[in-house]
Amino acid sequence: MPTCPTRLRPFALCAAVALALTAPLCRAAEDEHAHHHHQMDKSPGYARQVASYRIPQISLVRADGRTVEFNRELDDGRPVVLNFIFTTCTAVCPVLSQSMAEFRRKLGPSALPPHLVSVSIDPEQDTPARLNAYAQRFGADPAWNFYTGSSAASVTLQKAFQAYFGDKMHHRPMTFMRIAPGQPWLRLEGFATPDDLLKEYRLLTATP
Amino acid sequence: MPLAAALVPQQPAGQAGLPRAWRNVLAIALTQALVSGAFAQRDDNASGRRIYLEGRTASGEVTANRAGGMQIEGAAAACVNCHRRSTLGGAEGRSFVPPIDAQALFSAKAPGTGAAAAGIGRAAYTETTLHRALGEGVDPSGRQLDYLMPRYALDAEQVRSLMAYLREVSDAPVAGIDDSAVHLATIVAGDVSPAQQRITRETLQACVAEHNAGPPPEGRRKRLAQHIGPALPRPWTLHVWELSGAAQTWDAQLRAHAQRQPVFAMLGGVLGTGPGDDWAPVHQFCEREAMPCLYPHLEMPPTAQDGFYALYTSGGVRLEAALIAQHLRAQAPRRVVQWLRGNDSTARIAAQALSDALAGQGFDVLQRRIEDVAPMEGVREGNSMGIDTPQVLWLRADDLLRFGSVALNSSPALYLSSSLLGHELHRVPGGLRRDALVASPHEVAQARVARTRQLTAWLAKQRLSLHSEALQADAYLACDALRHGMNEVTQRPGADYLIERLEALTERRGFAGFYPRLSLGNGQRVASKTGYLVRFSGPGTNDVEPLGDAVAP
Repeated sequence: MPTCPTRLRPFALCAAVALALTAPLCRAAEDEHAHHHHQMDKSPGYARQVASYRIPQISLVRADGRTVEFNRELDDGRPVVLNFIFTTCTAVCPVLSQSMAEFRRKLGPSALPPHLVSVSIDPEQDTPARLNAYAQRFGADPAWNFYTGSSAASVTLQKAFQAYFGDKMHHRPMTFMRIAPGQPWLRLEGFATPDDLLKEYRLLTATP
Repeated sequence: MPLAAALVPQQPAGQAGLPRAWRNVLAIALTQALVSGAFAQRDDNASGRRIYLEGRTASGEVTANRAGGMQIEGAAAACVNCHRRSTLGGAEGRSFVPPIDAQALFSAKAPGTGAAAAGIGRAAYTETTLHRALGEGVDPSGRQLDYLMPRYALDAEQVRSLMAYLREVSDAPVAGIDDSAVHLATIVAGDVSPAQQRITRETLQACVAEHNAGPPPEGRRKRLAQHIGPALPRPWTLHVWELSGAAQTWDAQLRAHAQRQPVFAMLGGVLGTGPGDDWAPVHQFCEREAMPCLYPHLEMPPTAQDGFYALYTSGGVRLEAALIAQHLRAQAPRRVVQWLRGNDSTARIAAQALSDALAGQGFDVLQRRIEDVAPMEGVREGNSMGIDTPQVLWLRADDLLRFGSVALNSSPALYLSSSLLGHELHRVPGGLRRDALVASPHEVAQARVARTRQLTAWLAKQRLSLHSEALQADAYLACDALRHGMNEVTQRPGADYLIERLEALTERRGFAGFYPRLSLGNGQRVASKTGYLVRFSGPGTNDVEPLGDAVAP
C-alpha cells in the first residue's frame, strides 16, 4: 500500500481553486489590478508533498518499441522526473510537456542528470510511433523516455502514484521526482513552472 | 468593427463567385459604406479563422507567451486547441476552458454567473478589452486569466478579425433541428439484404422511440403536472436514406436526400458487400456538410480517416490485419500466403494492409485469388508449399465452406477474419477449427456474454428479438452514443460541439457494443483500438477463447 504523509499543504486549496476557475479566487485579491507581463512568471501554485509509492511489477512499451520492466527503468540509478500525459491532450499535457522540456534545458549539464519519464494514460491510442512524434514536438533528448503499453498497466501505474481519476479526460497536472531508488517521491500537484521544477529538483538533489 | 459590417447579412456561398459587375448591381441598393463593410467582414472572418484554427496570420505564425516563461507559436498557439472548433471550450481534469462564443464573450456576466466570474461578474468584452485580455491576460473586470491561457501578440486588426470569426461561428445555422424535432438519418447503402435493412431500421427506431418517450417515470409525471420538471428532450425523427446504383452516384443521392429533408446527424448505417460498395462517398459527404455521422456498421472504415465529423467503432479488417501481422512477426515464418476473392474489395484492402504491415520483415507474403485456381489445384498448391506456411483466409463464410476446408488443411496456422464472417464464428467449417485463429475486433468469452445479455435485455424491453448480434449491437451503440452526446449539447446544439462532447465522454458513458473498450479524444475517430486473436475451444464447439489480453497492435 502506498503511504502518504498528511502534511498540511498550504497551497492545496489554492491549487484546486486555481485549476477550477479561469480567475483563481485565491489570487484574485493580489492580482485584481495587476496586469503586467511579469505576472506571468508566477506559478498559480502547486501542492508539494513527500510520499512513498510502491511501484508494482508491470511491463510497459518504450517509444523505441521495446517491452521493458518499468521498475528497472526507474531504478537505473538516475534521479527520475515523471509525469503522465497523452498525445491527443490539448490543454494540460502540452503545458506539462513544455515545462518538462524547459526545465531540462534550464538545468543544463548537471552532476546528477535526471531521467525524464512520461507515461501515456491513453496507451491504446498512443502507439510508439505517436509517442515519438509527440516527443519530437517537445525536442525530447535520449534521456527523456516515453512509455505506452496495455490500458491495465497504465491504470495500475497511475493508481500506484495516486494519480488515477477514472479516465484520461479527468487527469490532473502532476510531476513526480525521486532522487534515487528506494527514496521517497516528491509529488508536485498543479502547474509547476519550469523554474519551479528547477528549484524543486535542485533542492532534492542538494539533499545529502 | 464598423457598425455597418455587423448589419450586413453574409452573402450565400453561391454569390461569392459573381462577377464584379454583378456585385456592383447588387450594391446599388446599399450604401457604399455597407458594401465595403461586407467585404471587409469576409476578409476579417478568413483572417480570424486562420488565427483561431491554425495559429497563423497573413504574415506568419501567431506567437504567444505562456505562463512560466514559455513561448508557443503556430499550431501550438491556435485557439482551437483548448477552446475547440465550437468555441465552447471544455474541461480537462480540473482545468476549465471557458466558452468564448460570441454570446458568452460579448454579453455582460452578472455577479455570480458565468465561467469567468468568481462572484463579481464582468462587463461584456469590447474590442479594447478583448485585445487587452489576449495580450495581457486580464479580463474586463481586471482579473487575471487562467494559467493555461497564453498571452498573444496580436494587433488591433487581428483582434477584430477574431471577433468577426467568433460571431460567424456563433451565427452559423444548425441543420436539421427545428422547434418540433431533431431530424436524423440512417443510411442503407448498396446491396444490403432486406433482412439486414429491417433489423437495422427497427433497432434504431426502437431506440429513437425510447428517447422520445423520455425517462419512464418522468413521462408519467409530465402528463400529470405538465408545468413541473425539466423539459422533455426535443423528439427525434429518423429518416432512412437509401443509396443505390454505383457508389459514384451516392454523393448526388445524399445531396438530394439532404435537400428534401435536412438532418442534424447520421445514425449508424449499413453498407452492402457488393463489389463496388464503398463508404467513402458517405464519409466525404459527412465531412463536407459538417454532419456528425456516428458509428455505421462497416467491415472497415474508409481509408481517409482524417476528418472531424465521422466516427467509427473500430478499424475492422484493418485492425484484424494488424493483429495477424503482430502474431506472424512473432512466429517469423519464411512465407505467408493470403487467399481472397479478387472482386471482394474488403478482402483486397485487408490483404494489402497485412502485406504492408509485413513488408521488410524478411519473409515472402504471397496473395492468391481463389477464382484463379480450382479447389483441387489449391490443395496441391497448398501441400506443395510445405507444412510451415501459415495461410491467411480473407474469405467469407460461403467461400470458406467451399474452398477452405479441403484446400488448406496442411497448413500449420490458419488465420481467419471475424469481420468477413459477419462476426458469426459458428460459420467456420468444422474441419478448419483445430488450426484456425480468428482475428476479431469484438469482445469474447465471459465479457462478451455480459454484453450480449445487456443487448438482449434492451431488445426485449423494446419487444425485439436478437437476430444479428453484431448489427444490432452497432445500431444500439450508435443511438446510445447520440443520446449521451445530445444530453450535453441541449443548450447549444451544434455538430462541432456534439463531436467534442463525444470525444470527452465516450470513455466513460454509453453502451460499448461488443468492443473491448471505446474511447475517443481530440482527433481520435476510431473508438475501439484493440482486438483479439481467438481460437475454438474444441472442434465440436462454437465457444472461442482469446489467445491473450485485448491488444492494440
